Amino acid sequence: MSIATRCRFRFDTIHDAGGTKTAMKLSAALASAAALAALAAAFLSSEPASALRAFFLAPFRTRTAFLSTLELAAPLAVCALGVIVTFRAGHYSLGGEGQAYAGAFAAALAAPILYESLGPASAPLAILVGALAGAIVSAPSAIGKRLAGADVLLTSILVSQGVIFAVDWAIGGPFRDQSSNLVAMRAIPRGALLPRLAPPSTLTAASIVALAACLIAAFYFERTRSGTAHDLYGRNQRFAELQGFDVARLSWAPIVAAGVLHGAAGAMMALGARGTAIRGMSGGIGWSAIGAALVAGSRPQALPFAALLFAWLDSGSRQAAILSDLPPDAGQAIKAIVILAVSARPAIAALRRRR
Amino acid sequence: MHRYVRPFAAIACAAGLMLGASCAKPTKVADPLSVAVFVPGIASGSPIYEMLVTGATRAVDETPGARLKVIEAGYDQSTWLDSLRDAAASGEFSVIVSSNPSLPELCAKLAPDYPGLRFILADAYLAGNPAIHTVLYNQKEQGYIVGVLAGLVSKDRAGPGALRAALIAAQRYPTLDRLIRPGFEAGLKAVDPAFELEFREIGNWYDSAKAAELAGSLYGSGVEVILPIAGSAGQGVVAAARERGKAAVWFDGGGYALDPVAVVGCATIAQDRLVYERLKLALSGDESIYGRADVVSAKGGYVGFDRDADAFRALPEALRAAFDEAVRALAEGRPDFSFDTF
Repeated sequence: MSIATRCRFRFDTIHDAGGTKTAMKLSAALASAAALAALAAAFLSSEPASALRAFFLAPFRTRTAFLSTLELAAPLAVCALGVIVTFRAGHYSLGGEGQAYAGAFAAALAAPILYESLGPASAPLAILVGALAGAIVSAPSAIGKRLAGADVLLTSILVSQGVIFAVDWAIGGPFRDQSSNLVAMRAIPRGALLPRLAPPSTLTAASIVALAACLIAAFYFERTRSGTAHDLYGRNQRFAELQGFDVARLSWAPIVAAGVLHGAAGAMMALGARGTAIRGMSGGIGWSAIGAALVAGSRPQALPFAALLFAWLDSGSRQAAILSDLPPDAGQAIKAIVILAVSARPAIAALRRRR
Repeated sequence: MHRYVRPFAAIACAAGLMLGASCAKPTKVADPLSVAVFVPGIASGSPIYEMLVTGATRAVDETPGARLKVIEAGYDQSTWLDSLRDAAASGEFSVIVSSNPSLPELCAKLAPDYPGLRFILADAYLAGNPAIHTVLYNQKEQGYIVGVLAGLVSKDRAGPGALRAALIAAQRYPTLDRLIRPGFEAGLKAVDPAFELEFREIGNWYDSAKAAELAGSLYGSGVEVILPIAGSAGQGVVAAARERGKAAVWFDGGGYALDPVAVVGCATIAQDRLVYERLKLALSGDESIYGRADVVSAKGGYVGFDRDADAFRALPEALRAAFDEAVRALAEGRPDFSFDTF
């Protein structure tokens, strides 16, 4: 494989894929998800017609279901934005799961305390506390990269895994609500939660915040000098340095920014319908976020679509398990294959070029 | 329009169209005879959930026009609320039946959003919520029954010396701390007040390797009988007992199938009967059960012991006679573990 081909493969995979390619990726993801869902319904369910109806239509059939699907997409979009921020700077941080979990834990811990002194205004501050927790979890990787050139992929996943164990222990141990049969922290007071915009759906302002964050990130990458520097650093650090950009800052700041975003997303989960931090609540959001970022072609503009696609897969598979007999894990399997299908395209293209 | 704004405009349009389409549909009114059985785990292989499904199926089969859907939510507690919410939001069900001490707090979160929905929860306790009916088994009695057996078997096998038995739990929770553990300890001390109870915690409901490790260490230190309250992780305790020629006592039925020799006793609950009775009432239109939190006990036959196993029959006759006497006395209220609120 030539150097040019290798570079193209790398850029296609992790950097802004460009509008047309992103639209193609999204279409491919949607088509493959739809095809896989149909196959799963046909082969895994004894009621294929009702499984298909539940999978494809139930998440959009009622206002409640549709708005709840939007809410499900919000923290995923914010986490995926964190992935894009690091990947476009050439840092392969895989620590999102631990950062989001730490954010949820910190927000659940802080929200009741903040609520006592601030009342309903405590929710945004609790999200900031969650963001701070995410930043703290990302800090060792950022410091390692800045001071010692440590491999972010390795340090981020090691720190994240350690944090997951620590938070599991904290939620199940000293911070557990002893009056609850769930392994969960004390319930956050209702007034301290994110206000629900359209009950009985779970929709909160989190989805608006997520959309705004994507818009701001799109503006940052497309219209600002800092965004250009960010992208250039991700493609060629030496070249960015020669252009006079602040590469020292870019060696750590995107990692911390991603930590902030993941932590805020975790806080949104704790302050949403769950109303507390439950052991294991991050539920693979770090990995799903990488998938959503890949499907979005690392473009913040496309992220809401990718996050919605993943939320639909989650919601649709749950609805299909409820309304038919499709196994509840089918959605996860479909999601994994969609990620593989989308991320394999550059590799397939590279193989074709070799021939 | 800038190119980076276009996708957002598209999202807004798409969301608006979808929202408009979804709002245009009239709100579905659930069939009053449509029942969901919410299994917070997997029914197959779990006697307590199999009985839940059996009881509900029987009640639905006997009610003309009623229909039933079993929803298996898996063992991840953090996803149960989402699954319950999806079931409620589907508008397909008017009654959700389930069994787990954690469920009342989750159902109480949903109840205000879905005022037409009713919940019947076995093995759980929550009083005063007009949408929820709970029934708690007197698990202090259940713990007492296996405690007496564990005490008798330990004393018979260990002979003179330190009298110790153990309880290995998946995690601590109120029902365990306030009912099962004190009941088990009371059973041991009813045999001999010198008994000491060792307690170990696994940390989850599935790690049978860790459970086997903890059990192995306890058996190695002289413990003869262990009670696992650990879901599927309890199989690790049984494996360790088999390996070392020791014994385990089991909770909630189904234990003998794990090992016909190592499991010497199995306390039971009449979950299928209870679910059948309460769901029948609900399907007959009896709204008076909601808001109520009942406690059922050995006196009513809801808590008992399964004698139908070779391992139990192989125990010395005098031991079995002493145990039978203790169980008979318990059903007559001696000792009296009754309570009305939890």
